[in-house]
Amino acid sequence: MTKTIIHTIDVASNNQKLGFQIKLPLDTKRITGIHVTSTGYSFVPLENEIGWLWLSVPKSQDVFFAHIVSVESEQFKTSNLESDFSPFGRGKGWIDGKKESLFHLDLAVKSPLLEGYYTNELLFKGGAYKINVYLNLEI
Amino acid sequence: MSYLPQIIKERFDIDVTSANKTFKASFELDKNAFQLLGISITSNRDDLLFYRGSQKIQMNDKELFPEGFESKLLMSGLNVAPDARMITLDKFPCGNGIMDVWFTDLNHALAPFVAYRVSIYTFCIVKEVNGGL
Repeated sequence: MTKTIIHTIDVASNNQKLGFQIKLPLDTKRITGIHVTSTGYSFVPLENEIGWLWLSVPKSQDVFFAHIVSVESEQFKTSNLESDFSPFGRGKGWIDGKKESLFHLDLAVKSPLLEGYYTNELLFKGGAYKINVYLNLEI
Repeated sequence: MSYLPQIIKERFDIDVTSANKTFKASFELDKNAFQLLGISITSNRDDLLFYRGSQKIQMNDKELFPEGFESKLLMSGLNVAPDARMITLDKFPCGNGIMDVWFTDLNHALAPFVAYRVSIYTFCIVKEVNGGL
Protein backbone atom coordinates (compact mmCIF):
# COMPACT_ATOMS: atom_id res chain seq x y z
CA MET A 1 0.00 0.00 0.00
CA THR A 2 1.27 3.43 -0.84
CA LYS A 3 0.55 6.74 0.84
CA THR A 4 1.53 10.29 0.08
CA ILE A 5 2.30 12.75 2.84
CA ILE A 6 3.01 16.45 2.47
CA HIS A 7 5.24 18.55 4.67
CA THR A 8 4.86 22.31 4.30
CA ILE A 9 7.60 24.77 5.19
CA ASP A 10 6.72 28.42 5.63
CA VAL A 11 9.52 30.72 4.49
CA ALA A 12 9.20 34.32 5.57
CA SER A 13 12.49 36.17 5.29
CA ASN A 14 15.53 36.29 3.05
CA ASN A 15 18.67 34.40 3.97
CA GLN A 16 16.54 32.28 6.26
CA LYS A 17 17.96 28.88 7.19
CA LEU A 18 15.43 26.38 8.43
CA GLY A 19 15.90 23.03 10.09
CA PHE A 20 12.84 20.81 10.30
CA GLN A 21 11.73 17.27 10.99
CA ILE A 22 9.24 15.19 9.06
CA LYS A 23 7.41 12.56 11.05
CA LEU A 24 6.53 9.52 8.98
CA PRO A 25 3.72 7.08 9.77
CA LEU A 26 5.03 4.42 12.16
CA ASP A 27 4.38 1.61 9.68
CA THR A 28 6.41 3.17 6.87
CA LYS A 29 8.64 0.64 5.13
CA ARG A 30 10.20 2.62 2.32
CA ILE A 31 10.25 6.00 0.67
CA THR A 32 9.58 5.53 -3.02
CA GLY A 33 9.24 9.05 -4.35
CA ILE A 34 9.90 12.70 -3.57
CA HIS A 35 8.61 15.87 -5.12
CA VAL A 36 9.28 19.44 -4.03
CA THR A 37 7.23 22.46 -5.06
CA SER A 38 6.93 26.09 -4.02
CA THR A 39 3.72 28.07 -3.85
CA GLY A 40 1.80 30.84 -2.12
CA TYR A 41 4.08 33.73 -3.05
CA SER A 42 3.27 37.08 -1.47
CA PHE A 43 5.38 38.81 -4.13
CA VAL A 44 6.40 38.38 -7.76
CA PRO A 45 9.76 36.59 -7.68
CA LEU A 46 12.40 37.65 -10.17
CA GLU A 47 14.79 34.77 -9.69
CA ASN A 48 14.06 31.27 -10.81
CA GLU A 49 16.19 29.58 -8.18
CA ILE A 50 14.89 30.38 -4.73
CA GLY A 51 16.49 27.95 -2.30
CA TRP A 52 18.22 24.68 -1.52
CA LEU A 53 16.76 21.72 0.30
CA TRP A 54 18.39 18.69 1.90
CA LEU A 55 16.73 15.65 3.46
CA SER A 56 18.48 13.10 5.61
CA VAL A 57 17.79 10.10 7.80
CA PRO A 58 19.21 10.85 11.25
CA LYS A 59 21.95 8.58 12.60
CA SER A 60 21.74 5.74 10.12
CA GLN A 61 22.20 7.64 6.90
CA ASP A 62 23.50 10.93 5.68
CA VAL A 63 21.78 13.22 3.20
CA PHE A 64 19.84 11.19 0.64
CA PHE A 65 18.13 14.01 -1.23
CA ALA A 66 19.39 17.44 -2.26
CA HIS A 67 17.35 19.75 -4.43
CA ILE A 68 17.44 23.26 -5.87
CA VAL A 69 13.96 24.68 -5.42
CA SER A 70 12.67 26.72 -8.34
CA VAL A 71 9.85 29.20 -8.70
CA GLU A 72 6.87 26.90 -9.25
CA SER A 73 8.18 24.41 -11.75
CA GLU A 74 10.75 24.85 -14.49
CA GLN A 75 8.66 22.55 -16.62
CA PHE A 76 6.07 25.26 -16.96
CA LYS A 77 8.48 28.17 -17.48
CA THR A 78 6.69 30.44 -15.11
CA SER A 79 9.38 33.07 -14.77
CA ASN A 80 7.87 36.45 -15.43
CA LEU A 81 11.06 37.42 -17.27
CA GLU A 82 10.04 35.02 -20.02
CA SER A 83 6.58 36.33 -20.71
CA ASP A 84 6.74 35.19 -24.33
CA PHE A 85 7.06 31.65 -23.11
CA SER A 86 4.53 32.06 -20.34
CA PRO A 87 2.25 29.07 -20.39
CA PHE A 88 -0.84 31.10 -19.64
CA GLY A 89 -0.11 34.62 -20.85
CA ARG A 90 -1.75 36.55 -23.64
CA GLY A 91 -4.32 33.94 -24.50
CA LYS A 92 -1.81 31.40 -25.73
CA GLY A 93 -2.48 27.74 -25.25
CA TRP A 94 -0.71 25.98 -22.49
CA ILE A 95 1.72 24.06 -24.63
CA ASP A 96 4.91 24.19 -22.59
CA GLY A 97 4.08 21.82 -19.80
CA LYS A 98 4.08 18.12 -19.27
CA LYS A 99 2.71 15.81 -16.66
CA GLU A 100 4.47 16.08 -13.32
CA SER A 101 6.18 13.04 -11.93
CA LEU A 102 7.93 12.23 -8.71
CA PHE A 103 11.65 11.75 -8.26
CA HIS A 104 11.89 8.01 -7.75
CA LEU A 105 14.06 6.38 -5.14
CA ASP A 106 14.00 3.28 -2.99
CA LEU A 107 14.97 4.05 0.57
CA ALA A 108 14.26 1.61 3.40
CA VAL A 109 13.14 3.46 6.52
CA LYS A 110 14.04 2.23 10.00
CA SER A 111 13.29 5.37 11.96
CA PRO A 112 9.96 7.22 11.45
CA LEU A 113 11.71 10.56 11.39
CA LEU A 114 13.44 12.52 8.65
CA GLU A 115 15.51 15.62 9.12
CA GLY A 116 15.58 18.44 6.64
CA TYR A 117 17.39 21.67 6.06
CA TYR A 118 16.35 24.54 3.83
CA THR A 119 18.17 27.73 2.94
CA ASN A 120 16.31 30.62 1.35
CA GLU A 121 18.46 32.10 -1.43
CA LEU A 122 16.06 34.83 -2.53
CA LEU A 123 17.46 38.31 -2.73
CA PHE A 124 14.04 39.89 -2.32
CA LYS A 125 13.46 41.06 1.25
CA GLY A 126 10.22 40.49 3.08
CA GLY A 127 8.61 38.02 0.69
CA ALA A 128 6.86 34.96 2.05
CA TYR A 129 6.15 31.66 0.34
CA LYS A 130 5.67 27.98 1.09
CA ILE A 131 7.68 24.90 0.20
CA ASN A 132 5.79 21.62 -0.10
CA VAL A 133 7.71 18.35 0.23
CA TYR A 134 5.75 15.36 -1.09
CA LEU A 135 6.84 11.94 0.06
CA ASN A 136 5.49 8.76 -1.48
CA LEU A 137 5.64 6.03 1.12
CA GLU A 138 5.27 2.29 1.00
CA ILE A 139 3.40 1.15 4.09
CA MET B 1 -21.30 10.44 -19.29
CA SER B 2 -20.20 7.88 -21.86
CA TYR B 3 -20.06 4.10 -21.87
CA LEU B 4 -17.68 3.72 -24.79
CA PRO B 5 -15.70 1.57 -24.60
CA GLN B 6 -16.62 0.23 -21.18
CA ILE B 7 -15.01 3.17 -19.49
CA ILE B 8 -17.24 5.69 -17.76
CA LYS B 9 -15.98 9.23 -18.05
CA GLU B 10 -17.55 11.74 -15.74
CA ARG B 11 -17.00 15.38 -14.98
CA PHE B 12 -17.67 17.17 -11.72
CA ASP B 13 -17.42 20.92 -11.20
CA ILE B 14 -16.58 23.08 -8.22
CA ASP B 15 -17.13 26.84 -8.41
CA VAL B 16 -14.47 28.78 -6.55
CA THR B 17 -16.17 32.02 -5.67
CA SER B 18 -13.96 33.57 -3.01
CA ALA B 19 -10.25 33.75 -2.34
CA ASN B 20 -8.35 31.92 0.40
CA LYS B 21 -11.17 29.54 1.21
CA THR B 22 -11.83 25.82 1.15
CA PHE B 23 -14.79 24.47 -0.83
CA LYS B 24 -16.14 21.03 -0.07
CA ALA B 25 -18.12 19.01 -2.55
CA SER B 26 -19.36 15.43 -2.74
CA PHE B 27 -19.99 13.65 -6.00
CA GLU B 28 -21.68 10.36 -6.66
CA LEU B 29 -20.04 8.26 -9.33
CA ASP B 30 -22.10 6.27 -11.81
CA LYS B 31 -23.61 3.21 -10.17
CA ASN B 32 -21.93 0.96 -12.74
CA ALA B 33 -18.47 2.32 -12.02
CA PHE B 34 -16.38 -0.51 -10.63
CA GLN B 35 -12.76 0.60 -10.54
CA LEU B 36 -11.31 4.08 -10.77
CA LEU B 37 -8.63 4.12 -13.45
CA GLY B 38 -7.55 7.71 -13.16
CA ILE B 39 -8.35 11.30 -12.50
CA SER B 40 -7.61 14.63 -14.13
CA ILE B 41 -8.19 18.25 -13.20
CA THR B 42 -8.77 21.23 -15.45
CA SER B 43 -10.28 24.67 -15.11
CA ASN B 44 -11.70 27.51 -17.14
CA ARG B 45 -8.73 29.46 -15.72
CA ASP B 46 -5.74 27.14 -15.88
CA ASP B 47 -3.44 29.80 -14.49
CA LEU B 48 -5.47 30.27 -11.32
CA LEU B 49 -5.79 26.54 -10.79
CA PHE B 50 -2.07 26.06 -11.39
CA TYR B 51 -0.86 28.78 -9.03
CA ARG B 52 -3.57 28.87 -6.36
CA GLY B 53 -5.22 25.47 -6.10
CA SER B 54 -4.74 22.48 -3.85
CA GLN B 55 -7.13 19.74 -2.87
CA LYS B 56 -7.82 16.71 -0.79
CA ILE B 57 -9.72 13.91 -2.51
CA GLN B 58 -11.32 10.89 -0.90
CA MET B 59 -13.15 7.99 -2.47
CA ASN B 60 -15.53 6.16 -0.16
CA ASP B 61 -13.66 7.63 2.81
CA LYS B 62 -10.30 6.35 1.52
CA GLU B 63 -7.78 9.05 0.85
CA LEU B 64 -6.59 9.40 -2.74
CA PHE B 65 -4.73 12.68 -2.31
CA PRO B 66 -3.91 14.25 1.06
CA GLU B 67 -4.77 17.75 2.17
CA GLY B 68 -2.59 20.35 0.49
CA PHE B 69 -1.89 18.27 -2.64
CA GLU B 70 -1.36 20.96 -5.24
CA SER B 71 -3.58 21.03 -8.29
CA LYS B 72 -0.65 21.67 -10.61
CA LEU B 73 0.56 18.13 -9.92
CA LEU B 74 -2.67 16.77 -11.39
CA MET B 75 -2.73 19.01 -14.46
CA SER B 76 -1.23 18.33 -17.87
CA GLY B 77 -0.12 20.63 -20.65
CA LEU B 78 -1.37 20.41 -24.23
CA ASN B 79 1.81 18.72 -25.39
CA VAL B 80 1.04 15.70 -23.26
CA ALA B 81 -0.62 13.06 -25.39
CA PRO B 82 -4.35 12.99 -24.64
CA ASP B 83 -4.13 9.36 -23.69
CA ALA B 84 -1.48 10.11 -21.08
CA ARG B 85 -3.00 13.11 -19.35
CA MET B 86 -4.83 11.51 -16.48
CA ILE B 87 -3.19 10.49 -13.22
CA THR B 88 -3.51 6.72 -12.97
CA LEU B 89 -4.74 5.18 -9.73
CA ASP B 90 -4.06 1.50 -10.28
CA LYS B 91 -7.72 0.46 -10.55
CA PHE B 92 -8.84 1.87 -7.24
CA PRO B 93 -12.11 0.16 -6.12
CA CYS B 94 -14.99 2.61 -6.41
CA GLY B 95 -18.20 0.60 -6.20
CA ASN B 96 -21.12 2.85 -5.18
CA GLY B 97 -18.48 5.53 -5.22
CA ILE B 98 -18.81 8.81 -3.37
CA MET B 99 -15.98 11.17 -4.12
CA ASP B 100 -15.37 13.91 -1.56
CA VAL B 101 -13.27 16.88 -2.59
CA TRP B 102 -11.95 19.69 -0.42
CA PHE B 103 -10.59 22.33 -2.78
CA THR B 104 -8.49 25.09 -1.23
CA ASP B 105 -7.68 28.40 -2.88
CA LEU B 106 -4.52 30.15 -1.66
CA ASN B 107 -3.43 33.66 -2.58
CA HIS B 108 -0.56 33.93 -5.04
CA ALA B 109 1.10 37.10 -6.32
CA LEU B 110 1.29 35.81 -9.90
CA ALA B 111 -2.43 35.03 -10.15
CA PRO B 112 -4.83 37.60 -8.66
CA PHE B 113 -8.17 36.11 -7.77
CA VAL B 114 -11.23 36.06 -9.97
CA ALA B 115 -13.99 33.48 -9.68
CA TYR B 116 -13.12 30.30 -11.53
CA ARG B 117 -14.35 26.79 -12.08
CA VAL B 118 -12.50 23.58 -11.24
CA SER B 119 -13.44 20.49 -13.25
CA ILE B 120 -12.55 17.02 -12.05
CA TYR B 121 -12.67 14.20 -14.57
CA THR B 122 -12.91 10.58 -13.49
CA PHE B 123 -12.33 7.50 -15.64
CA CYS B 124 -13.87 4.28 -14.33
CA ILE B 125 -14.15 0.73 -15.61
CA VAL B 126 -17.70 -0.56 -15.92
CA LYS B 127 -18.71 -3.22 -13.44
CA GLU B 128 -17.92 -6.76 -14.53
CA VAL B 129 -20.88 -8.60 -16.06
CA ASN B 130 -20.94 -12.38 -16.56
CA GLY B 131 -17.32 -12.77 -15.59
CA GLY B 132 -15.90 -10.32 -18.07
CA LEU B 133 -15.73 -6.67 -18.90
